[in-house]
Amino acid sequence: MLTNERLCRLHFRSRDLPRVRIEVEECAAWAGLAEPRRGEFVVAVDAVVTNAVEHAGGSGRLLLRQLGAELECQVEDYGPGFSEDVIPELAPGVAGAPAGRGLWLARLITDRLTVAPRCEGSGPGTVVTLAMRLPTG
Amino acid sequence: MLHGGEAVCDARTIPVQGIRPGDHAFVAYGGAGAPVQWDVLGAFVRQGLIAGEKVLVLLAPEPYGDDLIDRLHARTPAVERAWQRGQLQLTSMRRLIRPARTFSVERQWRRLAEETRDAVREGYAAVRAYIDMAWMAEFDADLDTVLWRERRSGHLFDERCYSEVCAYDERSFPADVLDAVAELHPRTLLSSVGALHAVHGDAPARAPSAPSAAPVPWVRMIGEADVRTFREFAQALRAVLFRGVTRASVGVTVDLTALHFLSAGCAAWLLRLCAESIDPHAVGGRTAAAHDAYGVHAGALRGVTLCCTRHQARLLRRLGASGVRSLTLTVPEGCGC
Repeated sequence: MLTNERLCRLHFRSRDLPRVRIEVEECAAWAGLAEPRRGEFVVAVDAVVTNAVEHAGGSGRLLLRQLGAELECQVEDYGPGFSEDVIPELAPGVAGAPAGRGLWLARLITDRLTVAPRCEGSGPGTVVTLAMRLPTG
Repeated sequence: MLHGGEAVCDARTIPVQGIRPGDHAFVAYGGAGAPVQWDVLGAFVRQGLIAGEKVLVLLAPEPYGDDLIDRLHARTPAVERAWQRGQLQLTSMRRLIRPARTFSVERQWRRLAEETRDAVREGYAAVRAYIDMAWMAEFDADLDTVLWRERRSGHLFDERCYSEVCAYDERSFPADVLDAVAELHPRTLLSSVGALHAVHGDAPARAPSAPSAAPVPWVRMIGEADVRTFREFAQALRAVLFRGVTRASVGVTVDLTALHFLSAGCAAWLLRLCAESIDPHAVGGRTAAAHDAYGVHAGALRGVTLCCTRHQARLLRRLGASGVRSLTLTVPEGCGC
């Protein structure tokens, strides 16, 4: 059930990407995340979801929550699994290899991004968690 | 003009998320491209709520409120609350013009103006209305009256407190009527959410050093550029760059301001293709085979101007735009977000 804390939960495939963005933008606005940070959050979430669609099994699950003064998005995929090592440390640059660029940007834009395996016993896959601080007051 | 279930794009075409107070837009549904209207309506509603506007949805026949919320896949706290407090209202033409029993343009205008005035007084930023034109059959309204109304309703939008989308079911109106109606609206919406369309054109060259230079090819991207629409995005970019090269123009312009969404992947690929077209050494002196794969003659272009919003400019800079020689980012006034 959705609450003021649990803002949005949905399964996604490639065709759902526009709806994912609409829902994330709306919930981020509801939580008080203003432009331009809201638009950047949507770009970051899209990059992580796109990674799941393209490279990690083709589908996944998204959970958006407001946790205190933070807006947190968890994207779970059912792919073979990956670690933070796939994210380049430095800016890939225009000529750089495309691998990990979306995740690199998502980490740059957000205040927190972590990569972890899905819970033990839930099968292969990865959970990427990204969060942005909400304005106070 | 409708073409294959989609309005042919021109300078008036925008995605539904681009609706702003003062806009009066046409959209078609029921064709192959958009068999139902719920996606466009859902985006219209949610964008209105984000903007702090009051949202009126006029459908015919009027469904139950819960049905509407379900069809919009919109059981989020924001939509539920807007529904409960009346920020989102499901209504119908019949209910709007009550107690009148017959439709008249004057009555409808008066009621919409009242709704707008009251909503602004209550603190809403504006009012937006989505009107499914299926109401015409319910009232047996004649087409000439509606055309007259669409032609003369500019006063509703003058103060930029009201916006309106008129949604026409392609199965109920002949193509020539839809063409005529679309022409009467200052805006035409893409008929599906998540779509991408490109409009190509040429602008006169303005470089003082080359007064007789060839026109500058440009492309205007409309909608959403992401992994789903990457192929169309890439194709449109290749086409404009190719035109720039083959016509020996001073450069090309890529207008991104009508894009509601530009993904990190598309933005990065755009920069890479621009860099290759201007200066292949900037991307490591790629081989001829690689150039062929991009479909443009590498290094032959003198410059690319990306016309973008502030948000897009920030994204492009983060991805390395400032390192691409002869690439210019311009943010037109009013493209602040």
